[in-house]
Amino acid sequence: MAAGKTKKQFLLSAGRDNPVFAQILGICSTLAVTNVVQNTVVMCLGVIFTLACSNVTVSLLRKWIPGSIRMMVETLIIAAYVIIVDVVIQATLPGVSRQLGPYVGLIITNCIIMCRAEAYALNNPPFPSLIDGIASGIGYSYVLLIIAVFREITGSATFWGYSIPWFSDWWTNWSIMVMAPGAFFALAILIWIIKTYVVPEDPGGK
Amino acid sequence: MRTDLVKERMFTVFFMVAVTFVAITLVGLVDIVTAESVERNRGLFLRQAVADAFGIPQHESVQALLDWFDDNVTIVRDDNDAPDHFWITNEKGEKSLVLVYRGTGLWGGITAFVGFEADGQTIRGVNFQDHVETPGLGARIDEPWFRRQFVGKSGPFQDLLSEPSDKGSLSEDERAFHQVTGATITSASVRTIMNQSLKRAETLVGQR
Repeated sequence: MAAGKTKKQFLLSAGRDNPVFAQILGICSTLAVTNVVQNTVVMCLGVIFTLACSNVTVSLLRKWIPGSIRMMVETLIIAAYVIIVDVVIQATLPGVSRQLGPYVGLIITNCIIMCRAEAYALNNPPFPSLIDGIASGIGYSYVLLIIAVFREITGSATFWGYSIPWFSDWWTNWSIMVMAPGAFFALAILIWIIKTYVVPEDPGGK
Repeated sequence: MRTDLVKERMFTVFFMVAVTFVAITLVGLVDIVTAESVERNRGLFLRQAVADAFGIPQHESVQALLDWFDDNVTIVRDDNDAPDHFWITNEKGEKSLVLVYRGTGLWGGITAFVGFEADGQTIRGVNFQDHVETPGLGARIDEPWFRRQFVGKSGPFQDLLSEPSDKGSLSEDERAFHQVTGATITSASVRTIMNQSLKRAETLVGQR
């Protein structure tokens, strides 16, 4: 029963309630880091880690956090985890850290993390909050990865920085795809496809 | 009633201070643990950039790079203790110059490492570090074909040619180089950086 509930909650957070295509959150980083796949993967791992940790921490403290300063506390917790992610990336993946530049730090302002802390972790026990955090993170990540794969292949004719054997020779790079507007187009088309064919919106409303 | 309110406020302040303390302690600890490798990575990037500008893009191992640097390179620092230029003993035993030029790109600074032959005029190699140019456009100044086209030339650069379709054959013209399509401002910035570097190299080699 408990396992079934967890699974249902996981699928809901990553699927129908997906932060990017259903809640339209975290668009800023979707636009900024999806031009090459490698950066996107690192960014996604950072977001999943931060989401999971901040959700659990906020959930553990939820009975003591005074209502008037709850957002300050949440931001502080998120910021601490993000700085840890940033420092660890600098220490272990210096090349990627250089390319991501300020974007890792900007996870702090990623609205998905604040949203999950505020809307879910503050009212639920640690374990479901952890599941919610990971599921939302994965939900965010796969949408970003789809866009990143599409943008890198069309925009730079490479995948993971390597040229694609029978493709890179004749393909003319779509410069627009490596710039922010390209991400807008890719995201819009993706949301359109998903909303039309995968999770159609309930016409009668909720 | 009043004491309850005071208690509540006190608790709020205490809670915020406690959370801040824990968060800072945690971040501080992680920072201390990783400080050494972060510093080491910075040093490696610098050495790699110097080696690349000198015309050795790849060493067999990290240790080989460190050994080469220690044996052949003399660092000259500026007033702020940041590396300003490097004197490197080349294969003939002569001193070659690699200078650091901090110029401006489209979105922010571009730090270029420009290497010269012993004459101080012919470019041996270029490496761009710490730039924030648009990924996929201006950031493509990092690509080998773009950097390779300066090698053996002595400028000053005037013309920006359109991007070649065949990255193997590059312009023979001493005063021209191919720009990155869609990154006109970055390409023009690189021209300025290269021309300023040439002037500085002349001064530095003259003073030696």
